[in-house]
Amino acid sequence: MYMNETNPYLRRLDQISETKKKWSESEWLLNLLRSETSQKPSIPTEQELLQWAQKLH
Amino acid sequence: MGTETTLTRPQNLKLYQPDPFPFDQQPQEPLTPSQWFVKRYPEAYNNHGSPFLELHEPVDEYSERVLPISINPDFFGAALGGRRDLGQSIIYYEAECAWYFKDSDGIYKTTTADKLATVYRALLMKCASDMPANVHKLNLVHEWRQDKTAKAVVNRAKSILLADSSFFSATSPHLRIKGQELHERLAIRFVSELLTCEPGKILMLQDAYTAFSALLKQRELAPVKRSDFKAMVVPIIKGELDVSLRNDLVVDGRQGVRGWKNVRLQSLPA
Repeated sequence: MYMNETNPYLRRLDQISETKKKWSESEWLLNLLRSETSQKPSIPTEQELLQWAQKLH
Repeated sequence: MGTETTLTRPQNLKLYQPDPFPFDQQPQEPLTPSQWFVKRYPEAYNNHGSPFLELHEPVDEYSERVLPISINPDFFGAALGGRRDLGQSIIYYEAECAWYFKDSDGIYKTTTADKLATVYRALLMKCASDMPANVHKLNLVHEWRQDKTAKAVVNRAKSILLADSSFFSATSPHLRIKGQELHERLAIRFVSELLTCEPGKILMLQDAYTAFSALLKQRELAPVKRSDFKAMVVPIIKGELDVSLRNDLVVDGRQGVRGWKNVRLQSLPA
């Protein structure tokens, strides 16, 4: 994905959008493994998403 | 596109090859099933090779038809271990013949072989949906999503994703939702945080057991037998405080009391 190198606001938007995509893919896979009764996590805020991405590195 | 064509043109049968100049261009969307899977599971490719054998047949000077004709079950067994770039981990815990996956809270939870087969089938379908029109999708959608192949892949994954009993040992960094090592982990904390060496003090085995049982109750863990508690805690106290269990202590005039000399139990946390 093209990342905006110059505008910090657009760069952050790109980063959040990319992270959202990754989080959704991760949750899609985890949901296939979870049981019906297990509690699914709530949709994360932007801040939580960025923290999640940071933990992956 | 018969067998003869394939056999007489083996150069059209292709295994995945990494881009020799990956820094020359912006990353591209995968154009073949092999590219799609290797992008997501590079470690599985490094260890087990190409996910598919693909037949690439030129249509004209500028385009080709792609038909995945053979699947590599080892690649898919490894891929069921989860995507490392997303922090995922799925293991086969040999001691209990059970599958565990790391949930988003970082704690391993049980899952089943049937659910892993579902993951495998879902991945093939997702890949097929993302493929361009020149990719033949019959094998992806139908042939390899049948139970026979799915079961073979999950079965292969057992040996590839095998974890021995040390994976969930009391000193391992991996946490799971329920397991006997939780008692041992708590026993280690019980000794390191609540017991101290203090000359003249005596800690009776019965008092230590009562305090530990209260901690278990506090954490909603199953109770342990006194004999199991003793077997678990004696080596920990010896290792941590260098004090052995004695059977000859005298407490309030009673002789032959079991316990530890020069050890004090601090008050339990609320």
